[in-house]
Amino acid sequence: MTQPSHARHLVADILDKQIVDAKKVKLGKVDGLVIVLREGKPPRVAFIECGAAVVARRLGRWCERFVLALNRRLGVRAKPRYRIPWSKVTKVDIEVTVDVDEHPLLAWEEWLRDHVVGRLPFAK
Amino acid sequence: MKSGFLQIALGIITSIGGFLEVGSIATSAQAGASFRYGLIWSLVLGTVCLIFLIEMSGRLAAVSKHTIADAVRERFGFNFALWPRLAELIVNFLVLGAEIGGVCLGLKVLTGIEARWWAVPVALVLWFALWVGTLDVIENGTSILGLLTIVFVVAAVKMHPDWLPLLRGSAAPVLPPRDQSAHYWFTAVSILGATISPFMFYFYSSGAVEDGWNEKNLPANRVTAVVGMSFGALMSIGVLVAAAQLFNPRGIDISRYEQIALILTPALHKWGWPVFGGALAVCCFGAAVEISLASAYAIAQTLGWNWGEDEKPAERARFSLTYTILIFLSIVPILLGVDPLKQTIFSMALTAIVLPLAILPFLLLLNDEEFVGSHRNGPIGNTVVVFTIFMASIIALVAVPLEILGGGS
Amino acid sequence: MRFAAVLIALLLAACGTKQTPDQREKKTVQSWEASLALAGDAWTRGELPKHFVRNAADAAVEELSKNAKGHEAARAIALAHQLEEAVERDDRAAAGRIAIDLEEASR
Repeated sequence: MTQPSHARHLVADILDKQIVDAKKVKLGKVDGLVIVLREGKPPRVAFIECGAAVVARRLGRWCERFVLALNRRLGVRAKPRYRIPWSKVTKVDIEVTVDVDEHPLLAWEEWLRDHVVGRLPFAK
Repeated sequence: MKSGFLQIALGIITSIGGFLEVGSIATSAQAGASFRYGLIWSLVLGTVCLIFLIEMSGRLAAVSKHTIADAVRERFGFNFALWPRLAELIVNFLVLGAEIGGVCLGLKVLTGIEARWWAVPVALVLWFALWVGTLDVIENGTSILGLLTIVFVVAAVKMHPDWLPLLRGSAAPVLPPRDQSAHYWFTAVSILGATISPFMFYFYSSGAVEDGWNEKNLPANRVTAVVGMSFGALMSIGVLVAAAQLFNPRGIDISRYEQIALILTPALHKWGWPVFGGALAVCCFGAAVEISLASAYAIAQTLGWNWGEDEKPAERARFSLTYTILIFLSIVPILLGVDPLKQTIFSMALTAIVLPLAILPFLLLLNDEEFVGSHRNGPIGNTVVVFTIFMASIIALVAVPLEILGGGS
Repeated sequence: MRFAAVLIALLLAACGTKQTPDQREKKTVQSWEASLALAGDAWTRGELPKHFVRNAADAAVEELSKNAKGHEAARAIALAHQLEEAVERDDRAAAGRIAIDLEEASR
């Protein structure tokens, strides 16, 4: 997947877009980007980032620290920050299509399905 | 692809659910009782703004395949999107509680049993309808039930209103004596706040995306916006006129729903009270459906979760859990004894304050080529949005001072 | 910001005088008297069920107790109780008389 050439375009084109897998299952939003700046060459996206800690960081460092502390306390299997390498991105149009194993990103969804929602009547 | 009829059904349910609900019935009745036909213009004004905004949410969904919440996050970033979402969450929580309260009031009129006792059963029925229902069933079911509100227009006509003053009141403000000015403008503000409810746009655009709209749906979208919202407006005017005929000559000012409940009795005699109770319960139920879904949509779409009413709850765990928690939390005030009408008035004032923030994205998104391509707003559309934002900002600034001045009941 | 302040000032000026507390109280009492007159009258004609009048009377008493203190309010509250009792007894004649009293008081 080729990259947009200008850093501003990277942000505009990719950030806050919906991430989906090949089956169109929604995996989250592009909460952050890890960009590599190189001398004399256009910037390159190394990873797209996803998760509560990533979003929290955009609001402020204090927010990120709070979310990380909360995550440690709750001890949920879901990580507060996921990185998807750019090499796994297959398409960028109205959403960003990636080729990854969806389970880590959908940890909360699956846990709630199995332990809460799935236990209620008529849920399935 | 949806047939034309079903698409218009989405428009009518959005209208009935959002238009005729506990707040609009109350404010229309108050307006008719206190000022006869002098406030119809505010209903007309609010409806015109609403028609444009609803059409725009449909157009955004059809062309960009994004819902509003989705598009707002993408275009403006998470940091900007967070604030309107948070504000709306709080407002929606209160409004949902008021609507469930409205259903309970309707059931109280029908049975005599105190409203508080109905809160939990109504919440359960509401939750169950969303849990097992699909968008089609919900849309069509509430549309058909909502047609019941035609009784208000029937009653209004049967009460022989004076058509000339009615038309005059529809065209321009009819100012009352000076000592009632504050109350007049506060009621106008409440009507505008009750008419232009943000949750309607979120519901409509999400339904449009879930139903898979594309550019071929645009003409029907326009018809739906106009017909659907006008239908709701007509019903509200029916309430206002009936109230004007019944309460105004007797000097009755509305402060409790027990007074409003008399409104259909002159026209429908012994059928008046049960039809009112039923219509109130149905309208508020439709609104409750819309608000719960709209709130869950907004959160899920902002955070990128899987969402959708047609899928089973287990397949949309976070989305389903969101509306579940919201519904059962929202009945806490009524269980604690808060008066539903007072909660309604309060939450409408709050809605008015949040309105500018909710509408501003429309102006920017609907002119953004990246989202709507060649289907950008025309000059009329933009003028209406700018005017609505301006009006909403004034309402936001003025609603609180007016209430303090003694405008509210 | 200044524009907003000017607007608010204009609005405050336009809103003119407020009703005095006495005037408002009198209006509240008259409003509820008229409401109960309507309800009582409709009940005597068989157009409303008992529980409706009971709820309306309770609402009237609640609102009047909260918002009005004078002699007229007390009379209205007394009439509300009388209406409720007449309806419970199925006494159409009495309810009719009380409704007329309420209507006259509200004018």
